[in-house]
Amino acid sequence: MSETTSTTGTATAPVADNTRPLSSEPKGKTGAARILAGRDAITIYALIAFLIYAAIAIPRFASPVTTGFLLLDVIPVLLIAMPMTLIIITGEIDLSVASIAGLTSALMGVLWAGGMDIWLVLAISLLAGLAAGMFNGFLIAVLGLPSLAVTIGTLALFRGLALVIIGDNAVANFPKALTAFFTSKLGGTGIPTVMVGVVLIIVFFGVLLHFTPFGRGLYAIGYSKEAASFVGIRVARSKFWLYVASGVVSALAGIYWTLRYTSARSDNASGLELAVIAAVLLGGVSIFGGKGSIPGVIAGVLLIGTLNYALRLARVSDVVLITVTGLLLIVSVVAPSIGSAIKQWRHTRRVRRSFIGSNT
Amino acid sequence: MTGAALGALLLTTITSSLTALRVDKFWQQAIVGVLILTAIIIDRVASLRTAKKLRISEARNV
Amino acid sequence: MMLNRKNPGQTGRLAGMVAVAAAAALALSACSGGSSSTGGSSSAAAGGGDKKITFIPKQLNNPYTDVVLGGGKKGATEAGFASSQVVGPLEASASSQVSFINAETQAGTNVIVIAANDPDAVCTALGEARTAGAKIVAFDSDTNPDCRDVFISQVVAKDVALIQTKLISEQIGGSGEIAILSATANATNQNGWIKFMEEELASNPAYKDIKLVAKVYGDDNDTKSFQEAQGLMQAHPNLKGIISPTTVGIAATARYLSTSEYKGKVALTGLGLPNEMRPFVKDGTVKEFALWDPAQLGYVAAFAGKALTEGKMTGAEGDTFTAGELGERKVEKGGLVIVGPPTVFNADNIDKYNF
Repeated sequence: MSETTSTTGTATAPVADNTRPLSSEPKGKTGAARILAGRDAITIYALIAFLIYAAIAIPRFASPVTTGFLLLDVIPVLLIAMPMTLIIITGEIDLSVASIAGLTSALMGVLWAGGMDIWLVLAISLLAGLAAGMFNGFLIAVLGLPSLAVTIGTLALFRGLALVIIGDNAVANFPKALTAFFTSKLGGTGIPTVMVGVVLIIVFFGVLLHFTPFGRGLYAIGYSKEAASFVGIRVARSKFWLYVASGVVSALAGIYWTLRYTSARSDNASGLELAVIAAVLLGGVSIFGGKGSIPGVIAGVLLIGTLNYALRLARVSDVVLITVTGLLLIVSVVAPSIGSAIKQWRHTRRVRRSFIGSNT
Repeated sequence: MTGAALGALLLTTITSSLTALRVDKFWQQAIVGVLILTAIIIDRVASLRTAKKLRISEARNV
Repeated sequence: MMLNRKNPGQTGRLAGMVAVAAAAALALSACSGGSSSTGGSSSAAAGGGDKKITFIPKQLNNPYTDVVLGGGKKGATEAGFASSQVVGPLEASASSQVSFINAETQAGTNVIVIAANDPDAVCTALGEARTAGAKIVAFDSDTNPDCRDVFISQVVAKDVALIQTKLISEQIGGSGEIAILSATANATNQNGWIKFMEEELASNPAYKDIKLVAKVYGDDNDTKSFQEAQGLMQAHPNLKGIISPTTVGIAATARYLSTSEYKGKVALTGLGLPNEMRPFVKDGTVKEFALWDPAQLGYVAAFAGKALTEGKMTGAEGDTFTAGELGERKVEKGGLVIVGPPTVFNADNIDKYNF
C-alpha cells in the first residue's frame, strides 16, 4: 500500500513555506522507512503490542474462542468502517450509518413476520440500504448540502422510520439454519464463517481506494475539491457513489446484526456510528480529509475491539473502557497536530537563525 | 453561536409540541429528521438566492 | 468535514480545544461512574468450593439494579461461592449484553445470573455458555425459556399489574382519564404488566369509568421521563392519574409533579424505591406506590445458582431449594421461582424500609 503513504508524505508538505533553499530542511522519507514509520503503521504496532500483552497478562485470552467472539463483535464496525474511510478521506462524513442498519433490521423483522420468503426479505433490505444511501448522496453530492448536517438529519429520519415500521415489537423467529450460519465457525480455527464475506468486502474497498484512479481521486478531493475538479475528477459523482456504497454496506451490517442476535428491533446498532468513526480516526484517517489507508483502519477497528474484549475478559468496568478508548482517540487526533506544530516551530526558528547568521 | 442555541431550543420545542399534539410516539423521531433536513435545504435555497441577487446587482453596477 | 484545512494554526487550536473538552467530559463521566461501580470481586467467607458466579444486570449504575445486586452479592457469599462478579453494559440496549456473556463463558464462570434486555438477543450466547458448562439463572427480566435453567421472578406478573390498577383507582376515586409512563418501548417486564393492566381495566366493572388515554415511554432515562411527564400534562389537561411501572419513571414524574401546579391534583402510583420516593410521599405528591424487596431477588437467584451447579436441582417443575434466611423455594411451571408479594408503601410505613 505504498500509494497511500506516498500521499501521506506530501500531506505534511503544505506546512513548509517558500524558504526552500535552506538545505537543512529535512526531505521526505523514502521507501521502506516511510511505510514503517507511517501514521497507520503506528496503529498496527499498537495492535500487535497489545495482542502480545493481552496474551501474556490476561488468562484465557490466547485461545481460538477469543478469535471467534472478538471477530463476531467487530464485524459490524469493520464492515461500515470501509465506506466510512473513503468518505472521511474525501473530507465528508456519514453519521446515518447506524440508523440505516437499524432501519434494515426493522424492515427485515416486519417483512419476515409478514410471511415473505427469507431471500426476498434479504434482497429488499439491501435495496432499502441502497435507497437510503442514494437519498444521502442526492442531498450531499447533487444539492451540495453539508454532509455533517444532512446525515444528522437522516440519522434521526432513518431511525425514526425504523420505529414507524416495527414500533415496539421485536421479531425473533428467523430460520434457525440461517442464524446458526451467522454464528458458525470455520472448523477449529474459531474464525466465523461470515468473515469470508467480510474479507471480500474489505479487499474490494482496499483495491478501490489504493489501486484505482477513482481511489486516488478521493484523496485529491479530500485535499482540495476545486483542484480535484480542475484536473477532471468528477467530485459530485464520486461522492454520490460513496454514500450509496455506505448505505448498502450499512444494510449488510444491519442484516448481520439482526441474524447474529436473532432479534429484529428498531434500536439495533444504535450508537454504532460513533464506534465506527472512532475506529477509523484511530486507524490514521484524517478527519480533515486527504489522509488514511485501509490497513490502518483495519488495525484501528481491531485495536478497539481487542481492547474491549480483553478488558471485559479481565472484568474491567466499561467506564474504564470508554475512558481508554476516548484517550486513544484524542491522542491519535491531537498527536499529528502537535507534531506538525513542533515541526513548524523548529523550522521557523532555524529560518530566523540562518537569517541572523547571514546578517552578521 | 446564537443561531445554534436557537436551533437547539427550537428542536426541544418541536419535540415537546409533538408530544402535546399527540403525534404518535413512533412518528416523532422521523418528523424531527424531516424537519432538520427541511431546515438545511431552506437555508441552502436562501443563500443561493442571496448570491444570485448580489451577482445581479454587481452586474448592474458594472 | 466542514473545517477549513488551509489554515494549520487555526485547525491545531481547534483540535486542541476539542481534545480538552472531550477529555473533561470523559473525566467527568469516569468520576460519576466510578463512585457507584460495582465491578469488584469479593471472596466468600463461608464454605469451601471453587464455584464462580457472575451477575449481568440490564445496565450498571441504576439505583434499582444496585439494590438487586447488593442482595445477589450477599446471597452469593452465604451460598458459598468462591467469587462473585458483576459485569454489564452501561446502556440497556438489546445486544449490549452479548459480549459480556461471551467473555464470562470464556472466563469459565459456573453460574451466570442475567436480567435480559431482550429475551431472544442473548439466547445464542447463553447457549454457548451452557455448552461450556455454565448454569443460567434469569432474574428480574426473563429470557426465552429455552435459554435458561430457572427464572427468578419478583412476583406473579399479574399481581404487579393488579395492585397498580387498584392503587390508581383508589386514588382517583374510580373514574377519570389515566396514562402510563413506562420504561423503554421494548421492555419485557413493563409490556407484560401493561397488557394485564389494559385487560383488567377493560374487563373489571369496578374500573369501567377509568379511561387509559396514553402510553408514553421515558426509556428509563431521568430527563426523558421528566419531559414525557410534562408532555402528558400538556396533551391531556383532564388527566387524573399516572401509573409508572418503573422506578426511574415514577421518581422523575414525582419530581415534575411536585414542582408543578398539578401537585396533589394528579395522582401518581407505580413501582418505586422507598428511598427515592420518600420526599414525594412526605410532601403529598404521591399517596401510595408498590414494590417488592429487590434485594431478595438477587439473594434467591444466587441460591438457585448454587443448587443448580451442585446438581441438587435441574430447574424442573416441583424442584425445591433452600434460599438462605428466606427459607425453601419451589420451582413452578416453566422454571419459574416466585420471590414474594409486592409491598405497598405510604406515609405510614415508608420509614421502615431502606432500599
